[in-house]
Amino acid sequence: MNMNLTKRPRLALCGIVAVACLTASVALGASRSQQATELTVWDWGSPSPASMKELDTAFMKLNPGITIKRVHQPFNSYFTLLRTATATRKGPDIVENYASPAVFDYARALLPLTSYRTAAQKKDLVGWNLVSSSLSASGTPYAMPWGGQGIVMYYNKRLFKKAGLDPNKPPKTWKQFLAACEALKNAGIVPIAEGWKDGYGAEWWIDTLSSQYMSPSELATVGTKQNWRSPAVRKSLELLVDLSDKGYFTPDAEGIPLFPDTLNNFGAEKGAMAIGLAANCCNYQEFRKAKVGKNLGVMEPPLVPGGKWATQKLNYGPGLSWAITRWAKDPAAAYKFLTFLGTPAAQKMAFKSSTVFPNNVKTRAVTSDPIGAKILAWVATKPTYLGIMTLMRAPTEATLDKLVPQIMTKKVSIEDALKQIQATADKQPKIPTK
Amino acid sequence: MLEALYVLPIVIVVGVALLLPVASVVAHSFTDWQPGYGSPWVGDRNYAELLQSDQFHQILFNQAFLLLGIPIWTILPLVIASLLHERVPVPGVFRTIFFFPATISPVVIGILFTFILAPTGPVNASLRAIGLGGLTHNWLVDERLGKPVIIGVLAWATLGTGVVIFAAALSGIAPELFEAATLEGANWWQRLRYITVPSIRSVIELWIVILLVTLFVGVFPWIYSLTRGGPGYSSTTIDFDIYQNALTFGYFGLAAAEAVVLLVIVALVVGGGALVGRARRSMA
Amino acid sequence: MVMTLPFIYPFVFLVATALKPLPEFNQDSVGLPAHATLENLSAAWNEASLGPAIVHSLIAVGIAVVLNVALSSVAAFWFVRHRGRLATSLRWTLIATMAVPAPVFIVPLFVQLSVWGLTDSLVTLGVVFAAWNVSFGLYLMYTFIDALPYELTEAAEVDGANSFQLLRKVLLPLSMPAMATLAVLTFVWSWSDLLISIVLVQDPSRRLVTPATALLADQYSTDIPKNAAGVLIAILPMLAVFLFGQRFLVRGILAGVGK
Repeated sequence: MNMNLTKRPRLALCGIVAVACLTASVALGASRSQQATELTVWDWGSPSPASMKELDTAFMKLNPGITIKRVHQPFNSYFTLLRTATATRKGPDIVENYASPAVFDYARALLPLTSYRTAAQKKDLVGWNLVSSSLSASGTPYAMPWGGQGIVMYYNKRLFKKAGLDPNKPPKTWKQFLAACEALKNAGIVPIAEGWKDGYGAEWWIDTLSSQYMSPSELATVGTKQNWRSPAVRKSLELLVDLSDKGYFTPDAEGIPLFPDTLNNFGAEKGAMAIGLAANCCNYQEFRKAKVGKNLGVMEPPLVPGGKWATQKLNYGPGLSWAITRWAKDPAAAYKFLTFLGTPAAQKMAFKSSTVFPNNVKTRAVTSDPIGAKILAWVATKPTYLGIMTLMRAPTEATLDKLVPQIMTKKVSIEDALKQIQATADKQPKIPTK
Repeated sequence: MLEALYVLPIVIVVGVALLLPVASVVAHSFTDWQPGYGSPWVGDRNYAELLQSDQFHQILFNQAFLLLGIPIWTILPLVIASLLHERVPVPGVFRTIFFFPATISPVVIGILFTFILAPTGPVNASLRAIGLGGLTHNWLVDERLGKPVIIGVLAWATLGTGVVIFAAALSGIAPELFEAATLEGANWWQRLRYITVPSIRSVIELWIVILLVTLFVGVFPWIYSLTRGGPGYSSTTIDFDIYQNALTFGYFGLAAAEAVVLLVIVALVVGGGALVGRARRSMA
Repeated sequence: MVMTLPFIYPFVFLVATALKPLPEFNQDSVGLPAHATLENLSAAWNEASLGPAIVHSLIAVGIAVVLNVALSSVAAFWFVRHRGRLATSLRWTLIATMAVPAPVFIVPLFVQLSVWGLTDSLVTLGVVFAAWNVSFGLYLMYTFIDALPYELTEAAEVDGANSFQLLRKVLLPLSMPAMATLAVLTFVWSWSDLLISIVLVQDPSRRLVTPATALLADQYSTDIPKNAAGVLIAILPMLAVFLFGQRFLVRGILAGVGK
């Protein structure tokens, strides 16, 4: 189950309460709000159960006739359970998912939300296109996008200073980046805390690096036409292997997973830089609690040599989604929950309790943490994009993750690996067109 | 015959819980299986895809490689049980220590060893500490080491059960046999070979059967928690691949075909072993 | 004996890690804890609801053990007395179900159980565990009963005992060691199962202990000492069962299988 868990762990609360009312004809009589309705919600434990409970409680206060029964399934089994639920058409009413085409792996189980979505929601919530048919904002939505997530790089100001680098001027171009790495290495500091074992680290790099090589049209269709053998992807991997050859990553990174070791290592100051996420996971809030704490800095991933962008863009998009299952007995009630999660008030709560970035344009997250504030400013001002990795399907991700350690140790050629990944991607059922 | 009541419950339970699902799997292996929904017939497409895939060939090779572990997993507990039997006054304590790993869930063992075998983990740290830093490896990520490591971890995990089983069997051997042999000047190894092994042959065979079956249908939790079948497919076993195809990727039809192939392989292996065993017994 | 070191060490390591406070662990993951603390244990206990989980496991596994021993022994008895071609084929079929891996039967089984409304039930889980282990149980009990000296049953039959009395008064008492062995093995194997437990019992209020531990050590968790603590707690019941059942285990294997 190596789903794009990290596809930018935008474990942002995608409160999508999709109420699948397939059995509505029978339930119609019973679904009058007079009767107490119980909604079973599945999530994989991120955002934290505590923050979800807060939201549940708030919702239940506003809707006395509805009870939320939240079930935290282990992440590693989450999607297996979703498959079995799909097969039996029983189980949860509302399920957490990613805001990406990965949702379509379960399209059979998810209720289209067209008739529930209001015009206001369509306008105010960012990210409908990623969970709708044909990946178009006007397509049929299978889930409600929730929260935002993006890829950024963190660095350790104290270690930068120690290596003679300006802690307030992190590298921007590839040349500067290499120079910084070299300086850190010479100072006996691991330049980049990294781990390839579970593949997620590479995923984030691939997205931020390969997108810079893509033409606008390629980047625009990177969700519907996944071309893993594109030179852009190949070049991004070549850059990574080059960094590895130069010894800039944690030694033996191929044996270290990203979760939790790499993150812990960066937190414990065993690496000067690390690629991470913006919101609710592997982000500044977590690092603040670690040893790196007040020395934390955030930077944009470097511009690649020969890339198409003059200035860096921000990899950012909706993080999570909430969907209603087709067998839910009371889809209307379930959608009420989704609606609640999408409101500015709820999103403010979610940000406060677990830094889920809001995706409702009507609200802004405010934080006193300078790093958080900086990232939020980027979200508000920078042009954003989403790369091939963010928009991949689950089996593709599984294949990619498996191959990453072998690519980094050169046991498999980049060309070969991309061929295998493309083969898996080709096998996936197409994204629904309606 | 009322006596049939003795066997009826077991037949019902196994029939419903296992045989019916297996029948369903066999039938669905010829379809594009979508559990709970219509599954269109595709004939032998799943089998063709399976048998032609390079990954499947790698997987078959992996399984064959793991068979090499059987001598290790058998001889080690046998030797230790023998030593305990003859040399140690309070074998119970040791048996408990050895058996401890067998009580731990494979998932837990996997988590534990992922940690112990990590590049910065205790194994490498100890090697460095005693000056053998050159021997440190990326144990779980090096393709050449994936399978040997699994054999090692399984040895750790199954040793205890083996020791307990063999130790019990050994206590059934009349001590006079050993005494007589010692008097005639037999050393420990000779005693093992000429007295111990023949005396508990059927137990050893039972143990090997357990190992064989585990190897084909029970390694899944270990693979899952140690290497996830990686790197690449170098440590993927058939049952892990079935799990992956069905539950991670949703390729249920393919997984069904693979399951049928697995059943055939197991039948051949165990059946073959049984035939060999019977042949040897009739010659003895 | 030097040989025991590799076996003790992981346990020591587990305990050490479980007792280490997280910050200390991040700096030194290998050594003994300098400031041992019990807070990981209590955190794991509470977070994963390990108390109730242990109870659930005991129920499901208890059912599995009782069912397996009962079904296997009684059926083995029948098979020893019926050796015809049909019976032998049936026996081999039942034993052959050992070869069915969990990922294979779990999907259709789950779908069917769901149709019957039997999911999320500890009792159903216990029955499925039993079904899964009964192949080995039958093999073990059959081998054992088959090896019992015929004189024992002969004497009873001469005295006019019918099959039920034979079973109850002669064979079952004699088979105690083997049954105890089977009980212990079934307990250990069912307790540590993950896949079946997780698919058949999805309701968190009925969760068993191994899935609960898996939850703790899940992808996103970075608190390794807490995971270690959870693991430690999950192991203890099994260790207890083993220590207690050890004597039977030895006698059981000794008495029956090694002939």
